[in-house]
Amino acid sequence: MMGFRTMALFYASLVIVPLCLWLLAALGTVAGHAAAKAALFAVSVVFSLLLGVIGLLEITGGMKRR
Amino acid sequence: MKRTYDMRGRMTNLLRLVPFDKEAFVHMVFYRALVFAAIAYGIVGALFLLGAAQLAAYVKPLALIVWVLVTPQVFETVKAFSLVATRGAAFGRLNEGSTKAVRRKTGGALGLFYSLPYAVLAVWVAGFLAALAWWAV
Repeated sequence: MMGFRTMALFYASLVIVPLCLWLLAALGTVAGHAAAKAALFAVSVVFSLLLGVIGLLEITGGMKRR
Repeated sequence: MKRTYDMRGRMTNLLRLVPFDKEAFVHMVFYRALVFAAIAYGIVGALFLLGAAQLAAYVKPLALIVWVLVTPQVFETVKAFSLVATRGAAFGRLNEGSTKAVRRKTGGALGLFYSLPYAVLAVWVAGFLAALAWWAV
Protein backbone atom coordinates (compact mmCIF):
# COMPACT_ATOMS: atom_id res chain seq x y z
CA MET A 1 0.00 0.00 0.00
CA MET A 2 1.22 3.46 -0.88
CA GLY A 3 2.06 5.88 1.89
CA PHE A 4 0.46 9.31 2.03
CA ARG A 5 3.48 11.10 0.57
CA THR A 6 3.84 8.62 -2.31
CA MET A 7 0.13 8.90 -2.98
CA ALA A 8 0.25 12.72 -3.03
CA LEU A 9 3.30 12.64 -5.34
CA PHE A 10 1.55 10.11 -7.58
CA TYR A 11 -1.57 12.26 -7.91
CA ALA A 12 0.45 15.45 -8.36
CA SER A 13 2.55 13.89 -11.14
CA LEU A 14 -0.65 12.65 -12.80
CA VAL A 15 -1.78 16.26 -13.07
CA ILE A 16 1.51 18.10 -13.46
CA VAL A 17 3.21 15.91 -16.10
CA PRO A 18 0.30 15.89 -18.61
CA LEU A 19 -0.35 19.57 -17.90
CA CYS A 20 3.26 20.49 -18.78
CA LEU A 21 3.15 18.34 -21.93
CA TRP A 22 -0.24 19.80 -22.83
CA LEU A 23 0.98 23.39 -22.35
CA LEU A 24 4.08 22.70 -24.47
CA ALA A 25 1.95 21.20 -27.23
CA ALA A 26 -0.55 24.08 -27.00
CA LEU A 27 2.27 26.59 -27.40
CA GLY A 28 3.54 24.59 -30.39
CA THR A 29 0.07 24.58 -31.94
CA VAL A 30 -0.26 28.35 -31.52
CA ALA A 31 3.21 28.72 -33.07
CA GLY A 32 1.93 26.76 -36.06
CA HIS A 33 3.63 23.34 -35.78
CA ALA A 34 1.33 20.68 -37.24
CA ALA A 35 2.93 17.88 -35.19
CA ALA A 36 2.21 19.81 -32.00
CA LYS A 37 -1.51 19.61 -32.67
CA ALA A 38 -1.38 15.80 -32.88
CA ALA A 39 0.79 15.73 -29.73
CA LEU A 40 -1.75 17.91 -27.93
CA PHE A 41 -4.52 15.52 -28.83
CA ALA A 42 -2.42 12.48 -27.88
CA VAL A 43 -1.68 13.94 -24.44
CA SER A 44 -5.41 14.64 -23.95
CA VAL A 45 -6.25 11.05 -24.88
CA VAL A 46 -3.63 9.49 -22.58
CA PHE A 47 -4.60 11.78 -19.69
CA SER A 48 -8.28 11.04 -20.22
CA LEU A 49 -7.68 7.27 -20.18
CA LEU A 50 -5.57 7.56 -17.01
CA LEU A 51 -8.26 9.67 -15.35
CA GLY A 52 -10.94 7.16 -16.33
CA VAL A 53 -9.05 4.07 -15.18
CA ILE A 54 -8.03 5.62 -11.84
CA GLY A 55 -11.60 6.84 -11.32
CA LEU A 56 -12.94 3.39 -12.05
CA LEU A 57 -10.51 1.90 -9.52
CA GLU A 58 -11.69 4.46 -6.98
CA ILE A 59 -15.38 3.79 -7.60
CA THR A 60 -15.02 0.02 -7.42
CA GLY A 61 -12.81 0.24 -4.32
CA GLY A 62 -9.69 -1.07 -6.06
CA MET A 63 -7.51 1.54 -4.35
CA LYS A 64 -9.07 1.26 -0.90
CA ARG A 65 -6.87 0.58 2.11
CA ARG A 66 -7.70 -2.87 3.42
CA MET B 1 -16.29 -5.97 -2.28
CA LYS B 2 -16.44 -4.66 1.26
CA ARG B 3 -19.28 -2.14 1.79
CA THR B 4 -18.61 0.87 3.98
CA TYR B 5 -21.20 2.48 6.22
CA ASP B 6 -21.36 5.39 8.58
CA MET B 7 -24.20 6.96 10.59
CA ARG B 8 -25.59 8.55 7.43
CA GLY B 9 -25.90 5.21 5.61
CA ARG B 10 -24.05 3.38 2.89
CA MET B 11 -21.20 5.51 1.55
CA THR B 12 -21.64 4.36 -2.07
CA ASN B 13 -25.15 5.88 -1.96
CA LEU B 14 -24.48 9.40 -3.22
CA LEU B 15 -27.97 10.64 -2.34
CA ARG B 16 -27.06 10.50 1.34
CA LEU B 17 -24.91 13.59 0.72
CA VAL B 18 -27.87 15.79 -0.33
CA PRO B 19 -29.18 16.87 3.12
CA PHE B 20 -25.81 18.01 4.45
CA ASP B 21 -23.47 18.71 1.51
CA LYS B 22 -25.05 19.53 -1.84
CA GLU B 23 -21.73 20.64 -3.30
CA ALA B 24 -20.18 17.27 -2.53
CA PHE B 25 -23.21 15.57 -4.10
CA VAL B 26 -22.81 17.52 -7.36
CA HIS B 27 -19.06 16.85 -7.32
CA MET B 28 -19.57 13.09 -6.88
CA VAL B 29 -22.36 12.75 -9.47
CA PHE B 30 -20.26 14.58 -12.05
CA TYR B 31 -17.19 12.52 -11.11
CA ARG B 32 -19.01 9.20 -11.54
CA ALA B 33 -20.20 10.29 -14.99
CA LEU B 34 -16.77 11.72 -15.82
CA VAL B 35 -15.04 8.38 -15.25
CA PHE B 36 -17.02 6.70 -18.03
CA ALA B 37 -16.99 9.75 -20.32
CA ALA B 38 -13.20 10.03 -19.93
CA ILE B 39 -12.73 6.35 -20.82
CA ALA B 40 -15.04 6.75 -23.84
CA TYR B 41 -13.17 9.88 -24.94
CA GLY B 42 -9.81 8.12 -24.44
CA ILE B 43 -10.83 5.07 -26.49
CA VAL B 44 -12.46 7.10 -29.30
CA GLY B 45 -9.51 9.52 -29.35
CA ALA B 46 -6.94 6.72 -29.42
CA LEU B 47 -8.76 4.92 -32.27
CA PHE B 48 -9.01 8.22 -34.16
CA LEU B 49 -5.28 8.83 -33.69
CA LEU B 50 -4.56 5.29 -34.93
CA GLY B 51 -6.40 6.04 -38.17
CA ALA B 52 -10.16 5.51 -37.67
CA ALA B 53 -11.14 8.68 -39.54
CA GLN B 54 -14.87 7.92 -39.36
CA LEU B 55 -14.75 8.69 -35.59
CA ALA B 56 -13.85 12.35 -36.26
CA ALA B 57 -17.45 13.48 -35.70
CA TYR B 58 -17.46 12.07 -32.14
CA VAL B 59 -14.17 13.50 -30.87
CA LYS B 60 -15.14 17.16 -30.40
CA PRO B 61 -18.60 16.58 -28.83
CA LEU B 62 -17.03 14.00 -26.46
CA ALA B 63 -14.30 16.50 -25.54
CA LEU B 64 -16.99 19.08 -24.72
CA ILE B 65 -18.91 16.55 -22.59
CA VAL B 66 -15.73 15.73 -20.66
CA TRP B 67 -15.08 19.48 -20.31
CA VAL B 68 -18.50 20.02 -18.68
CA LEU B 69 -18.07 17.00 -16.39
CA VAL B 70 -14.61 18.19 -15.25
CA THR B 71 -16.03 21.61 -14.25
CA PRO B 72 -16.96 20.72 -10.61
CA GLN B 73 -13.63 18.90 -10.23
CA VAL B 74 -11.72 22.04 -11.27
CA PHE B 75 -13.72 24.16 -8.82
CA GLU B 76 -13.25 21.72 -5.94
CA THR B 77 -9.53 21.31 -6.66
CA VAL B 78 -8.87 25.05 -6.58
CA LYS B 79 -11.03 25.34 -3.46
CA ALA B 80 -8.97 22.62 -1.82
CA PHE B 81 -5.81 24.48 -2.86
CA SER B 82 -7.16 27.64 -1.20
CA LEU B 83 -8.01 25.63 1.91
CA VAL B 84 -4.53 24.07 2.12
CA ALA B 85 -2.64 27.25 1.20
CA THR B 86 -4.37 29.17 4.01
CA ARG B 87 -4.11 26.25 6.47
CA GLY B 88 -7.88 26.05 6.69
CA ALA B 89 -8.60 29.77 7.11
CA ALA B 90 -10.35 30.02 3.71
CA PHE B 91 -13.27 27.59 3.23
CA GLY B 92 -12.32 25.74 6.41
CA ARG B 93 -14.37 25.12 9.56
CA LEU B 94 -11.89 25.85 12.31
CA ASN B 95 -12.70 26.63 15.92
CA GLU B 96 -11.97 30.06 17.39
CA GLY B 97 -8.57 29.21 18.84
CA SER B 98 -7.31 27.59 15.66
CA THR B 99 -8.64 30.47 13.54
CA LYS B 100 -6.63 32.94 15.66
CA ALA B 101 -3.48 30.81 15.45
CA VAL B 102 -3.81 30.35 11.69
CA ARG B 103 -4.56 34.05 11.13
CA ARG B 104 -1.36 34.96 13.01
CA LYS B 105 0.65 32.84 10.56
CA THR B 106 -1.13 33.54 7.28
CA GLY B 107 -1.99 37.20 7.78
CA GLY B 108 -5.43 38.74 7.41
CA ALA B 109 -6.07 38.96 3.66
CA LEU B 110 -8.10 35.97 2.54
CA GLY B 111 -10.05 37.65 -0.27
CA LEU B 112 -7.69 36.33 -2.93
CA PHE B 113 -8.07 32.74 -1.69
CA TYR B 114 -11.85 33.04 -1.34
CA SER B 115 -12.18 34.38 -4.90
CA LEU B 116 -9.59 32.08 -6.54
CA PRO B 117 -11.96 29.11 -7.18
CA TYR B 118 -14.52 31.44 -8.77
CA ALA B 119 -11.85 33.17 -10.91
CA VAL B 120 -10.54 29.82 -12.19
CA LEU B 121 -14.11 28.65 -12.80
CA ALA B 122 -14.74 31.78 -14.90
CA VAL B 123 -11.64 31.07 -17.02
CA TRP B 124 -12.72 27.42 -17.36
CA VAL B 125 -16.24 28.36 -18.55
CA ALA B 126 -14.81 31.03 -20.90
CA GLY B 127 -12.56 28.31 -22.38
CA PHE B 128 -15.58 26.09 -22.93
CA LEU B 129 -17.48 28.89 -24.70
CA ALA B 130 -14.40 29.69 -26.81
CA ALA B 131 -14.14 26.00 -27.81
CA LEU B 132 -17.84 25.98 -28.73
CA ALA B 133 -17.37 29.04 -30.93
CA TRP B 134 -14.04 27.90 -32.41
CA TRP B 135 -15.18 24.39 -33.25
CA ALA B 136 -18.62 25.69 -34.32
CA VAL B 137 -20.36 22.67 -32.80
